[in-house]
Amino acid sequence: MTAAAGLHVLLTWSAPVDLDLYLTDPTSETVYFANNPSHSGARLVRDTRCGDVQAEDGAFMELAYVPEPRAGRYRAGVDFIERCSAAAQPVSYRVVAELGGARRETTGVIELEKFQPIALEFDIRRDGPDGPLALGSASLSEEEPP
Amino acid sequence: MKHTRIRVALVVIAALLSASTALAIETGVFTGTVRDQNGSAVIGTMVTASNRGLQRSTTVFTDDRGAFRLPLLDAGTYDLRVRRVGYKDLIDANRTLSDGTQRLDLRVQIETDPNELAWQLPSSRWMPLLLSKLSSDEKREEFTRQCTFCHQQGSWATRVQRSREDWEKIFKLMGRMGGVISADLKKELPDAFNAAYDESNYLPKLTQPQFVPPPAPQGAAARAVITEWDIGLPASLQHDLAVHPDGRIYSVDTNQDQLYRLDPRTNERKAFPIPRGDSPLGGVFNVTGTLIAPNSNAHVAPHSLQVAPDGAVWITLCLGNKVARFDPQTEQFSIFEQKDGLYPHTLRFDQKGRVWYTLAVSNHIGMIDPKTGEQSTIRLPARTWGQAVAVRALPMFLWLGKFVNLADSASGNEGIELPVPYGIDIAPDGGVWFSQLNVKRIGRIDPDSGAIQLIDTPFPGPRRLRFDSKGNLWIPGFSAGLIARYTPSSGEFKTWKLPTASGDAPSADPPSVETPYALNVDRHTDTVWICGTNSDSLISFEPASERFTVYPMPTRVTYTREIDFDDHGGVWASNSNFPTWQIEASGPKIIRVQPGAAPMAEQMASVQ
Repeated sequence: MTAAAGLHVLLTWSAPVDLDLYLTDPTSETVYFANNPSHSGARLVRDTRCGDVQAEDGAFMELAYVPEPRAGRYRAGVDFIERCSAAAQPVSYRVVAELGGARRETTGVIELEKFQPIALEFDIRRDGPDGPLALGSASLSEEEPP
Repeated sequence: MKHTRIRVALVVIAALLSASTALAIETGVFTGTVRDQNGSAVIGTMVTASNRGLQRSTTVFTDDRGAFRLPLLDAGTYDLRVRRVGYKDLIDANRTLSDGTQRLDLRVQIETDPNELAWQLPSSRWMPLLLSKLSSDEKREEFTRQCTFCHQQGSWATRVQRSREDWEKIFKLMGRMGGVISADLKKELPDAFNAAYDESNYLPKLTQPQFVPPPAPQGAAARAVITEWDIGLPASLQHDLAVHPDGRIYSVDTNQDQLYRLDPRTNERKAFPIPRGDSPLGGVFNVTGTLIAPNSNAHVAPHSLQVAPDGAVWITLCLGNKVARFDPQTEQFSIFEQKDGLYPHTLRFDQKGRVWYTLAVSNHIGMIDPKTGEQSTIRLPARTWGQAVAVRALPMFLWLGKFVNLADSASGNEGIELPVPYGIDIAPDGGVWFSQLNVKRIGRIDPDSGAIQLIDTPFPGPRRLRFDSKGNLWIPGFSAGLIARYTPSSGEFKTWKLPTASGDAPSADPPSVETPYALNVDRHTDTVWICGTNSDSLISFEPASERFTVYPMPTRVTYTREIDFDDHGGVWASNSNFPTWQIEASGPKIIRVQPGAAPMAEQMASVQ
């Protein structure tokens, strides 16, 4: 998944429907299909629509990329916005965050039009003042007050 | 007697010296002039001094000689920003202010790039470009009412072009957030957005035949001092604020379930987490597919607040479907569950100390009597049979949603437009008055009998209304760009179109659009203060002279939703655009306007 340095967050799912990935960075800005790229530098490099999943070679995935991630809390959300031509059945998904070879991931099931704002939360921390960035703890559907 | 006078004089002199010494140690003044590269005075320029340590900014305007004088500021390090539309911003960072007066002769460069000039204009100048592409006044009104109630339209973040597919997905998302628009409008909007915000359209419309900047502030606005305190986070939605009689300011963060308190005298800020109880993320609507923001931590979502006669702060918790009482002495909350009705919204106290509030989704008015603990709700009439059915079906819908997914059959995207009781205020005779935002109506409830009187408004979008001291009801027409005065004794409306706060070219076509979200009346003077929600301004209106005065706000995308007053002539509002990252500098602010309070720049000459 990580040919380039930086933070990658990948959403994959199991049916020919339109799921959307939302990645909120420590500035509280969210990159998603309608705010791409974000002003803080994140990009949705793979944005999948109904037309894409209905194509013969369609892959059910979205990918966000943060070339220069900053330390702090990240939140990945998942929305099931369109069922395309599929039945309105719950869909399984997986979210994987990767930075420098380290991974945090979660799986879940989502229903049509039931946004899950916190599918995966994780921290990126800096090891030492000039040290490298590293993936910290991950949580699923947990939250902390600001 | 003579000795007594001498003693008094000595004491006075000693006190003055002491005060002067204290001021000299702790405070300083920025003063000076702003000129362009040709040496011409630049009138009406905002000069803003921001203290990063204090997270506070102070702004004044240059006078007709280009001179300014900021009020006394704490000694420290300041970032100075000099801004006038039509010129490049001048940023002078990390300037140290120590005791005494620091004179600055500042030069700004005239902006000549048409794109940059256009970009400096507020949303009220951009949004008409879009409205003019729609096919009817009805669609323009619908768009204004449904698509601008969280954020400005025409801001840097919303004046964008997208594919039709993208637009359609966005309309679906917005529908799930409550922005319901008709299928006909949805069909027109993608092309309208893309045509309006194409450079070939906006550049000539906004910059030719000549570029016209917003007018310089006049009168008391020209000599206003505007102070902004940063509060909350980029992930906040700071909704309303209220001035407490003790001088502190309270505001609520809908997105983070927080109550904030600012003491403007000490600069102290404190956050109080509001108890969530068993409310899940998204509150009672978490089963419906209602979309909350991706950076939201809202379980209860505080929306509006008011100070009770006993000094307690009462807060509506719109997603939690509760009402909270905060005791400033103990700093503890009490929570009242909303038994009937949905979405506690705007609240006001009556003369008997009872709190009345609108229940926006279920079309009710609620009441709590703190003395007795009595709670009641009154169902308001809907405009149509379909609305009446919809508001009655909502509780069943929420209950069913816990067990089955109703999304495909009951998406809010093209559902029935609900009446939405919105603003509320109490008349001098105790009558409870409210507006129904989506059905062009205001009404009165007799608090004793519960009898309801309904009155159609001759304009759309009646929002947050208020009484003046004489019993006149003032109403902002959100999607009509006007304010109205309703006189209950005669049943007469009189309306005034709001000024184009952001200025227009002489032949501007289309003209600017204002979206007044709220107003409030200073009952000491009966001056009406109005949110210039789409033009980054506050606007005052003097009923006697029928004159408006526009106060430009220093921060771009200042989207105000509520106004309150202190006892010293200060007018308070909060920067409430959502999403917050669209606000310049990406943070909500509490704003105080002090009309006519700036020190005279002329006095500065004698100080030098």
